[in-house]
Amino acid sequence: MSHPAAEILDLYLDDQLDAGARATVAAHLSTCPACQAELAAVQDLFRELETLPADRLPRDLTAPVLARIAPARSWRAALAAALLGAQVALTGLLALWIGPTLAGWAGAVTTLPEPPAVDPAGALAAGWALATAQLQSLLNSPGPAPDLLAGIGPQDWALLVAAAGGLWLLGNRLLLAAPPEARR
Amino acid sequence: MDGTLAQPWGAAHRPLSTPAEIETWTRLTDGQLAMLARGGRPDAYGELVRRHQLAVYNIAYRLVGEREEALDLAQDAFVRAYAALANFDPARPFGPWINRVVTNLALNVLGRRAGAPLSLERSPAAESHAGGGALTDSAAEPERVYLAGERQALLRQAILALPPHYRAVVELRHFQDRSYDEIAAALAIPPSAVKSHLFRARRLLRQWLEDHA
Repeated sequence: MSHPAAEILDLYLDDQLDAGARATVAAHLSTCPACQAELAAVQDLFRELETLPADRLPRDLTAPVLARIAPARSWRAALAAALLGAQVALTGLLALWIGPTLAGWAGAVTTLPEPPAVDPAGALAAGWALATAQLQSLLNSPGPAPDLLAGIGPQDWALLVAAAGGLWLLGNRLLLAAPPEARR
Repeated sequence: MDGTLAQPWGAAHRPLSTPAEIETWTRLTDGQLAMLARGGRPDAYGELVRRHQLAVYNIAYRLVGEREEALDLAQDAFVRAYAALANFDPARPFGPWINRVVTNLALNVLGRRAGAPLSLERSPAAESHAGGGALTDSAAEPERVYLAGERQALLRQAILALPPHYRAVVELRHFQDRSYDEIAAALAIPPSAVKSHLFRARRLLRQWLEDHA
């Protein structure tokens, strides 16, 4: 038998020959030193490739990967967003409703504003009106107010509360901000 | 390796997982970690990254040949795999799955370098190497490597000197133990092309090693 093509020896080592071809090659190999040497050389290459050690990892990828995936799906991030939203809503409500109350408490107005009219169609509005009335009744007789506050009107109070709320939100936003590597 | 994970969303950088949690992660299987990550615990995914990052990086490095690019590809692979966790079957091993992700990303890079999708059909790079049957060693330092007696480093250089389409079949066959049919499917080429290019790639590797050893 003539020597098998070199490509056939590769296929023989890769177990890609059918049974007949494989037997033929095996028979030839058993009697042909040249083909045995060629096969051994290819086997050496296979062995070298398959035992090549892994290259050292230049740096740990865990933190950068987490920084990229966590903002999108972390329940903590979702909770932080929900908290921020609640803070925005609370600040707005405080600014709207507590301004007149504080003004009355400070003596700028002699009578507290009436509780908002209850919308019979809206249970939420009714509940809110009740809560507001309760808050106002609590603040109705707070004791003597300092003269310093007497000249501040309801709109001023509302603006002050809104500004304070805005600062509070800004501070929280900074605290909850993702680090630079997370923004990649 | 640092045992704490950076908290990605907070400025305080407190550990996202406590040491006790990390200890727990190490006892879980890949499938369990994947399920936890899918359920909203990305820090569990951190353990999967720790376990597989070396293999993933090495696949990328062997294919693209540049460490920084390989690091970026490995990172991208983990991020993409995380986004696709819903498609991962936790009953199957995570390693081969993430290896396929990074392999595909790296093959895309090689394809872009060649100006076309990577294929074992004749590419400009293949033509330039097929004629003379010799590998480029423009980026290699064989003398230095030889003097240092680093046969393995020499083999790495030989792999990186292969044309990208040959490098791809060597990677898939010898490092990922893929069958000819799997290689053909991964590279969208006929199995006969896998045979011929594996043969040529091995010939080139042997020739290069003989020339430089």
